[in-house]
Amino acid sequence: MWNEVQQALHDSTTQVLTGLARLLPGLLALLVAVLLSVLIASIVGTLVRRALLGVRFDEKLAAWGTLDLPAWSQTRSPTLLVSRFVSWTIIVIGALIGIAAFDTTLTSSLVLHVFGSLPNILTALLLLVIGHFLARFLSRGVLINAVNMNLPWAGLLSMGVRWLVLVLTTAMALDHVGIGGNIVSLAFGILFGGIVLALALAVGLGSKDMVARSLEKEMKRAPEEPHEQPFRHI
Amino acid sequence: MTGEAAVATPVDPAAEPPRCDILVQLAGCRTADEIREGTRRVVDGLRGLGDDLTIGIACGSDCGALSVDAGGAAIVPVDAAPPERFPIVGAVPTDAYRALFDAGRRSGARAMALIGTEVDQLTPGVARALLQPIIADDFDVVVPVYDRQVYDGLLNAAIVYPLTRALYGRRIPGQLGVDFGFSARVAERLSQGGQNPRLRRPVWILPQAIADDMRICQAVLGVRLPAPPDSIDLATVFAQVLGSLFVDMEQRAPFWQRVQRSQAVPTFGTAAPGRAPAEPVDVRPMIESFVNAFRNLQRVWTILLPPATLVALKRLTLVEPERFRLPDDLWARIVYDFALGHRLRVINRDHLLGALVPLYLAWVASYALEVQGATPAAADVRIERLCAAFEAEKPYLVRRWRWPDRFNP
Repeated sequence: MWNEVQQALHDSTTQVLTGLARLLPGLLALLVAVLLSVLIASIVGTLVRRALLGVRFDEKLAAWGTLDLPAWSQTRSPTLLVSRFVSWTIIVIGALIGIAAFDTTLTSSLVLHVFGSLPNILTALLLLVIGHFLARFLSRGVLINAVNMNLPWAGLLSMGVRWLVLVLTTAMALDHVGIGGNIVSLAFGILFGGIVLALALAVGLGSKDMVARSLEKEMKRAPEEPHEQPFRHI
Repeated sequence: MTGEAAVATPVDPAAEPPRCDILVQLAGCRTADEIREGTRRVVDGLRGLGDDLTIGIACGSDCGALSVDAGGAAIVPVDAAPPERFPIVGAVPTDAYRALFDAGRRSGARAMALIGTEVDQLTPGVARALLQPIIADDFDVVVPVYDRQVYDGLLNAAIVYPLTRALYGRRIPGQLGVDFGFSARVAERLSQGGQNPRLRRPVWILPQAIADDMRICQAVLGVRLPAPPDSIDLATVFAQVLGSLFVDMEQRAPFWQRVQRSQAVPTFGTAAPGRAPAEPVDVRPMIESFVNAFRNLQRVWTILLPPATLVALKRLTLVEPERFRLPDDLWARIVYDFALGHRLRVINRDHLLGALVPLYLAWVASYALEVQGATPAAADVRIERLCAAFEAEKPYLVRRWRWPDRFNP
């Protein structure tokens, strides 16, 4: 009896140790791949950053007219953003190569799945970036025009437009990578409708008294001769 | 000039225009009756400039089909849209000035005039005032001096005149007018065949004329500048007038950075004495607009204006409406900072010019409070002070233009 138990324990220990020994090269390969990729990423990232600083990438981006350069802090400049994106891409690729070194069906399918989804992920990221710039551009345009029309709720209107665009592009990005399924569409509908309703309520309630006063004044006012505006701007 | 009256016959617009010494474009006359009347007054005005001068009247591509009693003048068809009340950048194919220069060059004209004053105000003296300095005194550009009332041409008074005067060193307030006289030299330089096809309208022709060392003078026309359309939108005007002015400024930076002081140009004629003093106006809506803008546009103005300017603007939002005054040096720096922001494209250019509108309204409110009850002559003195401030602050512009990254208090 005891011999059988001993044998079973021996077998299982051997099996586990053998399994571990079989995994060890894979783990080592993963570690080496990650370390190498981190090293390469830091070198390439530095090179990219220096190259972009050399060609004044931030200023050129600002020259397109859709970027508020001063709004970007030193730690979040477009140059740093691009160099960090390149670095992280290299690290992720290194990690995937390391995982593939296990040579199991699971890791292979994971790698295939990740690489298969890469175009969708990149497109979604592009959508988010475009959405960010578009939201900034449109909200500022709305803000300036609303202020020039002397609307008291100009800031609110501008914020509403900004969030509408951000919500729209985020929903599009999530839909593109296939995350969330119907929940994204549903949540988008609720959020989008909610923002529009909130804006309508805010503007409507905010201007209720003004409209009432305006109508009252209009009804009480005696007909008067139209007078010429004294200011000629040009 | 031939004294006999002649009836014009239809002219093919594609044909070479007849030879003439003076070419006048009646841009302010639209209908056949207006063209007939305008032609008569122009010919009356030019009578006596010289016995052997021949006159061409350019009045649009359809004018050749009109039976116009031209009083001895030839009718020249010019295929050009009438000039807008303000410059439009990029509207080269329909640019009335360019069309006039082309026709003038092809017809061998010594002098050209573009008359935008409408026929109800047009007098023989207008055409004579615009063309006599060119024919008799060999000037190249004649700029109009209108009977200005206190609240006329405010954008010109606030920005265009002080800025161009400080930049290019000539005191010429009539740049946003609609009546100008030009010599053949200007036409040669700026017509389609000229060397600088990017230049378009007198606002921007004048800097070119100054840079080319052409002879510029002013002529008192004795009429009021025509009113702009009622539907005019300030943001659009800013985008078109100031947008193109700032672009022009950018292109001429090496020239204007060398100019240090301004000088007057010769003026022909005497302006009529000032009319009734300006009545007080309610400027509270403009001040409220400025205060509303200060609350909402902080993050846009912060990109364009230095902290000291923002502090000064904040103080302005707190004063009583009747004590609301925008100091001249502050206003000059604001305009310069916006010009610099336009050059550096720190934000979208249309947004930038839109963000200037509330500040301009603040200037108008301040100006209106200062000149209420004043005569036009007193208002001119006030504008003269503003121009002096623009000139005094020009080193600030030059410094920031050359080293925009340096610390800016």
